[in-house]
Amino acid sequence: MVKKKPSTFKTIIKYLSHVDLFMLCLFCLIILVFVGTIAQKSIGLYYSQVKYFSSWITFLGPIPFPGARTILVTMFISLISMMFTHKWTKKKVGIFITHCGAILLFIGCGLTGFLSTEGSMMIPEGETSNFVADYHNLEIAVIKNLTSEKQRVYAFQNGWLKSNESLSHDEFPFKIKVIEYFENCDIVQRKSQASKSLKGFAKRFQFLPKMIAPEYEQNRQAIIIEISDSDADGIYYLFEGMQIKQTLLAKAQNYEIEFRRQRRYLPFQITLEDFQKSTHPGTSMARSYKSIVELQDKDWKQRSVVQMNEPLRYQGHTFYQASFIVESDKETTVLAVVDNYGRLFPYISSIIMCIGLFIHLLLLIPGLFSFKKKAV
Amino acid sequence: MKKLILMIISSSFLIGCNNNNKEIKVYEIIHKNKPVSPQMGMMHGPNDGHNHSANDGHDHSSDQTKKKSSSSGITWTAPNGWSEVAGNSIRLVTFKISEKAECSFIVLSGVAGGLESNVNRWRGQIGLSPIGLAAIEKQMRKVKTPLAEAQMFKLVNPTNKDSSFLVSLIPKGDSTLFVKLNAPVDQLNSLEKPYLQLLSSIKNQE
Repeated sequence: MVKKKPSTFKTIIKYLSHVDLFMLCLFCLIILVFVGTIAQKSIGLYYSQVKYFSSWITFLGPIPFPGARTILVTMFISLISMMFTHKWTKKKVGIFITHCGAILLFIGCGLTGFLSTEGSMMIPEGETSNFVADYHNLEIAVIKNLTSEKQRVYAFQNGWLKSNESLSHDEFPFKIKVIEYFENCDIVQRKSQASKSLKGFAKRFQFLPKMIAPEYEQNRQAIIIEISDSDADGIYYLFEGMQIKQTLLAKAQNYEIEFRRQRRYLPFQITLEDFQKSTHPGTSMARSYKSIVELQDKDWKQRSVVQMNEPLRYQGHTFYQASFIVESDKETTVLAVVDNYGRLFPYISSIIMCIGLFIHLLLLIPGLFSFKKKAV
Repeated sequence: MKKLILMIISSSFLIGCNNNNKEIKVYEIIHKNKPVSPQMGMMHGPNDGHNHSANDGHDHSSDQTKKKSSSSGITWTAPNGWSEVAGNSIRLVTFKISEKAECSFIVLSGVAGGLESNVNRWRGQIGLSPIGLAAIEKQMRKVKTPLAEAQMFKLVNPTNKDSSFLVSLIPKGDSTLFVKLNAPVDQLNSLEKPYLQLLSSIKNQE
């Protein structure tokens, strides 16, 4: 009888389900965690996270090394493959449940890694806000004023922030081309006469590229764009946090261009009614601070207090009291807004894994006693 | 079936792995509370030349000579007779002193080009030729301010009566604060005392 040769797919699955592959991944992950933690000192938390943990491939010096994403996906596939190829018996039901818990943990990890977002919402006292500004990602926003109160926004997300990218939209009468994008720069006044092609802010100032600072917040990101086919063609300089928008006229329509943190508009709005801060006696050091807010969703209103360890949760968004700004006559609260769809997965999977291990332990007990009897 | 499930689960992890977001989001917003930039806010002050009656709903009883900056985290006290007017995207604040004299605060990150290039740029603006770092340091006057030690320069071109400068560079964390007073030569000496008063009033916001 001729033995049937296993298919290529089965061979791959068999290889993937091998425990050695999982252990190799685990070893690589340990190395990555070690290197990534050390690297935080020199390149900072955010860039270390991007380089080692949010990447598919990274480099340890000149040596290419799988990034955490590659390792985790491989571990996940390995675990799934093992679930299908392994012969499960009643005695191994505890191990099976434990593996299911581990798979759930990986799914949660994937959801958090790919879908979760973090940002901040700044609301001055007495004012209302309905958008969240991303912590890291930037956008070029072209704003068309439809009426005195209504604006149409065309937001080009961070993937467009590269030299020579052409930004256009069917509804634009003009074209935008990215000349240069700076991850960090100094803004200095021009020493010489600016060329006629430079418009607005660019007439007086220029950007000088600078080394990326370890602390992400210390970097001043900037971009140089060229606008053509408008009534104000030329080169415009924009930087993140620029307080005055650059404006241009095209076909009798006013446009504003802003380089800003990516905005996510919420289907509801939050008003800061009051911000309360108490300080340690005799110092200006904040002891505690809280925001009294009113959340309004269409006709429905809810008054809440947001303070340390007491976030406001609504429609999958969690609002934490993060910081505050005190101006001469006004206080502004800064709320950290987190949307984490995988938030509950670690808790659920940990419980499942504990149950699985407990069942496995229970199933092993009779075996332990029989061993003792044999020994006696 | 097993193959299918395995393919779906595996590929679902790879979907959305594209971190390079080249999306264009198009939406409409209502901007009832259009944010007012700090510069626009500065347009209204007790000394900005606007008139209104005593009971027209707003007064300046709470206006103080001491102004605070929300973005820079510093405070200062404007000398008597100096009024704050609208700045621009770079100027933190501008003081109008007289028809031809004004003073402004500019904060730039880092050393903003360095001492030599900045001083020579200012010299060029009033028609003076560039000089070396050693000569610049000789002209430098060190002034103590609550923020940090300021490097102050008095730049005068005898052939240019319309413009002369009192300029100071004050290191502020990882940025530099420039305090630049521009006035005709005949007014510069009299403005030196209030300028020094202004420098000594600049401090970190408490």
